[in-house]
Amino acid sequence: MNKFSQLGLGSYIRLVSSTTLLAVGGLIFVYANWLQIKAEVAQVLIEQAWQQTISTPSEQHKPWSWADFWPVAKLQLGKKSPVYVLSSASGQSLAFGPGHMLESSSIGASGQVMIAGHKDSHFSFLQSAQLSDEITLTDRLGKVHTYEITTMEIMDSSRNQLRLADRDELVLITCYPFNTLEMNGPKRLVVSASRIEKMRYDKS
Amino acid sequence: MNTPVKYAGLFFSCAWLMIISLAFSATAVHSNDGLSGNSGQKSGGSSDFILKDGAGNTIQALTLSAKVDMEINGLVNHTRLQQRFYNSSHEFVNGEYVFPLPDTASVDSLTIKIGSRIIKGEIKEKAQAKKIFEQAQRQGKKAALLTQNRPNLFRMAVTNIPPGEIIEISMSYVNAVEFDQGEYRVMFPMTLTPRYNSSIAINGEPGRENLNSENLSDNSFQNPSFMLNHPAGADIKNPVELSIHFIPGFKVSNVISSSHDIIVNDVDQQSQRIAFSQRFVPMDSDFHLSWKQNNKALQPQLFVESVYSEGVVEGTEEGADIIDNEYEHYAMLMLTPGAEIFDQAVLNKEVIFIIDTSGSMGGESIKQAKAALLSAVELLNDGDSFNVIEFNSDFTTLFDQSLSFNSNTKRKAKNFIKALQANGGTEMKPALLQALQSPVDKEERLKQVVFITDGAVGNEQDLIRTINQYLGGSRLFSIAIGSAPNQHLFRQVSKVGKGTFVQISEMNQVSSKMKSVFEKISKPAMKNLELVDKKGTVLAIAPESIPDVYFGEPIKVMLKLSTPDSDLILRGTQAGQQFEQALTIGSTSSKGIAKLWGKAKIESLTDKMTLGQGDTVILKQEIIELSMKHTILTPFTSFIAVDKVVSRKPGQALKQAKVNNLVPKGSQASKVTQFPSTSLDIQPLYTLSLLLMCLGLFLGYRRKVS
Repeated sequence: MNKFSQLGLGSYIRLVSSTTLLAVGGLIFVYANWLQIKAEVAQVLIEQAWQQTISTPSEQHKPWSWADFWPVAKLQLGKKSPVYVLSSASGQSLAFGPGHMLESSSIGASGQVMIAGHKDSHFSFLQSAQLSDEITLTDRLGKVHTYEITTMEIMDSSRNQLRLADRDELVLITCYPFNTLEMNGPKRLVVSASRIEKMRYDKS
Repeated sequence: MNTPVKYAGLFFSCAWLMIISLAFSATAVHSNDGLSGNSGQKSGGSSDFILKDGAGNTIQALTLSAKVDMEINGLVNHTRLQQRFYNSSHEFVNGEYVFPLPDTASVDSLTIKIGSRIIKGEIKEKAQAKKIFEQAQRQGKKAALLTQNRPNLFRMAVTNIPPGEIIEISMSYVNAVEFDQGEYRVMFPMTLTPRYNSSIAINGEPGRENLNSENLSDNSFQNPSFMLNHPAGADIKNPVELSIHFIPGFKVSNVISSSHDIIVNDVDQQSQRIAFSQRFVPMDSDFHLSWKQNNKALQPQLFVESVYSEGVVEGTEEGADIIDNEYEHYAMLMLTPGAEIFDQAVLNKEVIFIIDTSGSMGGESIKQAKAALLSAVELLNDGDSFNVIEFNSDFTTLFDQSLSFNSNTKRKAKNFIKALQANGGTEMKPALLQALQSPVDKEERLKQVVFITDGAVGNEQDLIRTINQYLGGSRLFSIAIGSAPNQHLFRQVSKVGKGTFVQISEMNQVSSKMKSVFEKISKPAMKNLELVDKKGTVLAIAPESIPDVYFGEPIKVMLKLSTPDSDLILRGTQAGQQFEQALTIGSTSSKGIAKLWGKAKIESLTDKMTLGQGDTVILKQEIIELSMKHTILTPFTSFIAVDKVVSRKPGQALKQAKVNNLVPKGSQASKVTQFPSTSLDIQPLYTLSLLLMCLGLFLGYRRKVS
């Protein structure tokens, strides 16, 4: 005799639902871990590509052959560990690192440089950012640009658009709040930092 | 008996698993098939149906391509604008597009083309048209509604666009070719400069706000939305195609476009065909076409259209008695008053420059504005006095009051100008008041205010009223800067400010345009101009009076004639002297003149409304009557076209989508961009997985217990 037939219909449904819930829950758990692992593990390859970029800045160095982005800068908030900025802010490249928004000025040029990143991976350090903190941005030529945080603003992306300005500053964008259960939330943290005149070279 | 149950159970659980996991992954991650719609963001009354493509980039559900067909015949331009809306989503879409047209355009038709069927639109009162549109929307019928939000800003609403289909909408308009400084011009606006709504309320003028709420700018007006044209390589956004049939009516030279690369081909002796050198260009910069006549001077020209009238006599008009039989003769007269009657004495003047240094001027615009101002300072003469005011959120003046022009003040001015930077808001009014209310100088020089701006302000009407109220004996001239300045504002400022405006969109135009402005402001204008016919009666014209005419400027008036042929006399005063000029002009018959007359008439009525002259209700009624009579779109009427066939079945969803305007080329500070998605949603994912697993365990536990 089959074991199922001994069960009533009610407990049978319960069995099915409990298995399903466990399975779906497990899958989502795996998926969430995968997103983070992907974001972390890729850093090794991206770092390699960055080292190559620094040594031969005239070429584009993709972290892996099928990637459609490449590192363009190194970003560091205070003494926190640095992150590598990728060449675009498309959904795909943001999964692997913060991205340079192409509509803003190019990195290294004087002008408004905008960089977006995920609040729960590469840009989680913005949680502890404070006014007048120092941010450094190393461009592909090894030039270090130093900025100081001047404003931190929370904007609603469903009501506002980002306004590009003719200012020499660095703008970092991530989702807000950092700890929330809301998915696809509309709020963004916009951190603006203006350049402080201090220039040095970093070839490491 | 057991086996089927077992299989059914397995099937059931698998199916359920799949459904649930699909549902969650679709909401948790932007699914990659390019079809997941996000019609949310229902905040602030605006919503937009945005899709995500494979790479997670946003794409608009509704896209636009346009085609412009012009026929320039003599001094009249007939334009047909075709807008094709493509719905790339898998849902029915309700689209909205706020777009510019020339403020001089008399929009006179709207049609929808569906396959081979053509549906003609009708003109209705605004509220009625809206009702018809909303009904069609509910019934699932395709419909288009064209309304005028502001004189140069229109709104197209299209409903029930089926998934994957294109709806083609055409409209047509008539306007007159512009003429100034020996040059004929036609423009077609492609986009607009994002406006800054002033934060300072319209206060201090009680009673005016009521009027404001009734009238010209729609309360439900939505600011147009913007997007960036992607850099080289990507597809052109908002592509437009152009074809012009050019019949100038005389030998022309220098047919050029200062804004686009064009190809000019001869069709025959009289006409030419003009197109962009590339088939499509993005709509990010206004199109300008200009040409010159071979023999330089403008010959006086009279264009006449005789329209059969059904015995309607407009009692409110003085011109009612000159209706000849059943025909009404509408005419457009264009002439340049002869140079021989112009006293060319150069006046001593006080010039106050106002320069807009708001954020919207950033990039190319501020460079052009500064260059214009620097060249203006060079053009001042000894004996003139001047001052410079810069404004953004606040204003700063160069000197406390105007000072005589000399090498010392000139140097100070240049240093002041060179240091200007674009930043902040656009509060024009305080700067304007400062200029207009400054004391008259000791030598009683004529005060000329030169206003350098892109005109990106929201509170146009307030500004116009301010000028009207405080102008006094001063004259206001504007220099319009940028690739898509607000032409209508400048035209109105010139009208109310009794001056003129020039447009500078390229750096290399700066010095020649500034010279022409100074030529105008340095010589006394012609005033009190009137047109008289043979019998000595003053003719009814629209606008109601001829504005002051500066040296080298043409006069353009719309009039009603008793017979299609008329000998006219122009009279007026200049430099304190009376003068008369007899005009013997052969008339040319031309289609569209009646509509231009109607438009001019409507404009003078709306001006009265803006300035608070006359009864709003009566003015509105008169405008609606003129609109119906001449079939011209006005702020109080709309074009509506509805399909007979039902496209969307009851119960099928209808999403709201917007077509964005492109950010004008070269403007840096006014650029806007979408926020990227910047969350992996790790926390909600963990929470969700934890919740589901807990629930699963709980159910499993309960099973064992039971």
